[in-house]
Amino acid sequence: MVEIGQISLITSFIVVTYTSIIGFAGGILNGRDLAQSARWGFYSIPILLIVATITLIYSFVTNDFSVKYVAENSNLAMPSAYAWVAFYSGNEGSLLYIAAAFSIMSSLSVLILNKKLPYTAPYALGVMSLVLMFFIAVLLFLANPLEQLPIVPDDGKGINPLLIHFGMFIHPPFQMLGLISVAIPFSVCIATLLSGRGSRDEWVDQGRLWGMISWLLLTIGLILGGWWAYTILGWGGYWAWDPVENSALMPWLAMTAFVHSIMVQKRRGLFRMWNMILIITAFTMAQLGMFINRGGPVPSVHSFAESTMGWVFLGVMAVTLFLSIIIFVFRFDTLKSRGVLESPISREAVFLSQNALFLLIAFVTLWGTIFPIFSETFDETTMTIGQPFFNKVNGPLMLLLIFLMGIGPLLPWRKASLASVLKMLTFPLILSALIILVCLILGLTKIWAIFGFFTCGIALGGILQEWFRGTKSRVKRGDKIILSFIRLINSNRPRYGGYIVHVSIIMLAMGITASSFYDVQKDVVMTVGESHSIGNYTFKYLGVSEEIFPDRVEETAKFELWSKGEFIEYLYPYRAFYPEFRLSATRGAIHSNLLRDFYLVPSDFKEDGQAIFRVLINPMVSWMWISGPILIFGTILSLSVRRSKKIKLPIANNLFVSRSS
Amino acid sequence: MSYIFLLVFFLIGCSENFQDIEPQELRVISLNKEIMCPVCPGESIDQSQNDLAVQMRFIVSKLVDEGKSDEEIKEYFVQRYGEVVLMEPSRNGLGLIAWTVPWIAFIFTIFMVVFFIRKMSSTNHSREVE
Repeated sequence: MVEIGQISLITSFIVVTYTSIIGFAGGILNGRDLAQSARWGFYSIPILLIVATITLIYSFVTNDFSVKYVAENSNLAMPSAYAWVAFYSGNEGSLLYIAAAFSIMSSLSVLILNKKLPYTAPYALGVMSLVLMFFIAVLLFLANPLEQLPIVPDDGKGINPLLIHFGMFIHPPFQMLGLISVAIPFSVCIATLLSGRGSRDEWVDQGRLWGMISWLLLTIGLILGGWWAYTILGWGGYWAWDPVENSALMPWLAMTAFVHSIMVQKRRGLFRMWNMILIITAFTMAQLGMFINRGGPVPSVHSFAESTMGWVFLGVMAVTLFLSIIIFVFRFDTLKSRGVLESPISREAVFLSQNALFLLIAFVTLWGTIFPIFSETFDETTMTIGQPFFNKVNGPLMLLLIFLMGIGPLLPWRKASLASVLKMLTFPLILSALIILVCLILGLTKIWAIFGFFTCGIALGGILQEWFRGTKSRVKRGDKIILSFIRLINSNRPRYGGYIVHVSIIMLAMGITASSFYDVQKDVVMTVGESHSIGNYTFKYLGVSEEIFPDRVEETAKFELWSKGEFIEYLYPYRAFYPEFRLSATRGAIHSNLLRDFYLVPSDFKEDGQAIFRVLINPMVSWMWISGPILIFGTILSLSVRRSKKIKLPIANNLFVSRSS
Repeated sequence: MSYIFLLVFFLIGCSENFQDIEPQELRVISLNKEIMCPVCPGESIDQSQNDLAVQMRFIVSKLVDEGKSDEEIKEYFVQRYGEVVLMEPSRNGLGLIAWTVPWIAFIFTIFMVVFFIRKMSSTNHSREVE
């Protein structure tokens, strides 16, 4: 079985080498046959890599410990459903996953690009082939997941227990695919530059499409990662500004900037250069993320895929960046903006500021992540840049971002008068003032929290106002309210889909603000039968039961949870000890509602029957997890319509003007 | 209006009355969040389940009970484990650089945005003159 996988890996390497050469040749010589040959070759790669993947997963399911990777990442006790998780839980397997998933997605993109951008598609195929070639080469020569052991062990080492969680079926695949999928819009951009067609804005629709898909994958990855950390790591938080988290956040920030500013190019013919710079930055940051994740120099809790090959990734990142800059500089003249910025009070200008802010946050995050390396190198003092630093520096910047998110969509393209802006802001400001008032009445006086709720109010107010106006004008025509609301959203899906995404971001921001400023925690020592109260909640410790599994010992506590004298439910937080890993994993029990989470996690069970628990009350955390599906819906909605015909008009007009002048 | 009502309603979630938690205890928690567990990089002693972190939490609450100030308590751990034990860099020496660079970047960003908005608007004028 393994041999089949090995052969298909080698074949895929030969094919990808061929397609990278022939792809570029097809582009340069404008040879249709060459391009077609490259395409067919490219389409075969996903098949070959899927075969390799299946052989590896098959080895996991059949407990074939002759395969080194299987022996290192699973054992007989592992349920076979976790073969999928074990497959990407280590360095080698995750690389194979990345290569296979990227080959599928990039083949789809080639299929579409070939129809939409026939002249640039061969170049894009060439660039994507190079990316894929790198991964397959690493798989073959540096980290082969199908490598076999000379002596077959009786049992494997087992999967990292922290990965035994439902979220692990989805978070890593989305996160890894999200990071690598940035390569697709990147390839479209480089291909446009190489083919010298940057002065036509034809790549914009495809750039936006693939940019948004990759953005969506990254976002899902991030939210699921937070959810996983919250439910399993047992410290009651969801984001720790850990280096690996940061390295996933940075490309997300750059991509978010990109999916916004590409709209400016689409509508106004501005920001041509800027969009290219953004996408190059995003891809560089995605590569940096892979470097940090795979044995980078900064310590992290994500060291699942640690290896010594981080430096290979860093080297490739440097080469990619260098080549991209050279290509960019050579094609600089094709990227002059057609349109002009008419006024600083316009949506374009807000987009520009917002873009700059996104990059600033990305830079500050990068700075905080790598500063410990600097301090160690130059001063020999090791320093930690942890959560408090990032919260203090990035927190206010993110609030500013949400403020811009609120006012941006209210401003028209081209220009607006100050008076009309103030008029537009009236309702949002009233709403935010109301929120502040309520905060004060409820006794919420932390200044930054109030700022947070205030900016969320402005952003939400703006969107509600837009929805209200649009619906009202339709209701006047005689439609029913709900129907006219749906029709309104349908009438301009990119725009109203975008608003839905904004609403989900506001929910996320509300959840983060509420839970980071008004969380309460307490460590309590309890004996069986004892109850404790926190806020309106009373919880009674009923006892602990121990259960022994082949790979772990589980101690599960049983609790009664009461609120205001009413029984709610039984809670079962547990702590599992994995002797082989010398690792204990705790899983908190969470009682969640829209207002707050009651979070109970065991810290220690003592011999004398006493036990230590940590209780947390986290306000509004569930809002963050609910925002995820809304965000997905909004993004898909805004992608679901192509409006290229309507949009091309203003750009075409500009073309006409500039030629005649 | 109903939306506004909803929004207001949810803010109640933040406003629980937690008078059973003493300010002293809150201070311990916030200190715990600022001190790193030396054996589990990146995690604060508040967050970590490690034995050492448990001991350090205990020391923090003891020092708070003894009436030590926040600075004194942090200094106590810095002397034992080095500056690496603080979750955020100090505001002097090399740590100051960590804090000032984001400010410089912020100011630089503002300048760049203003510069580009002006530049892109001015091409407007020159074209009109032509």
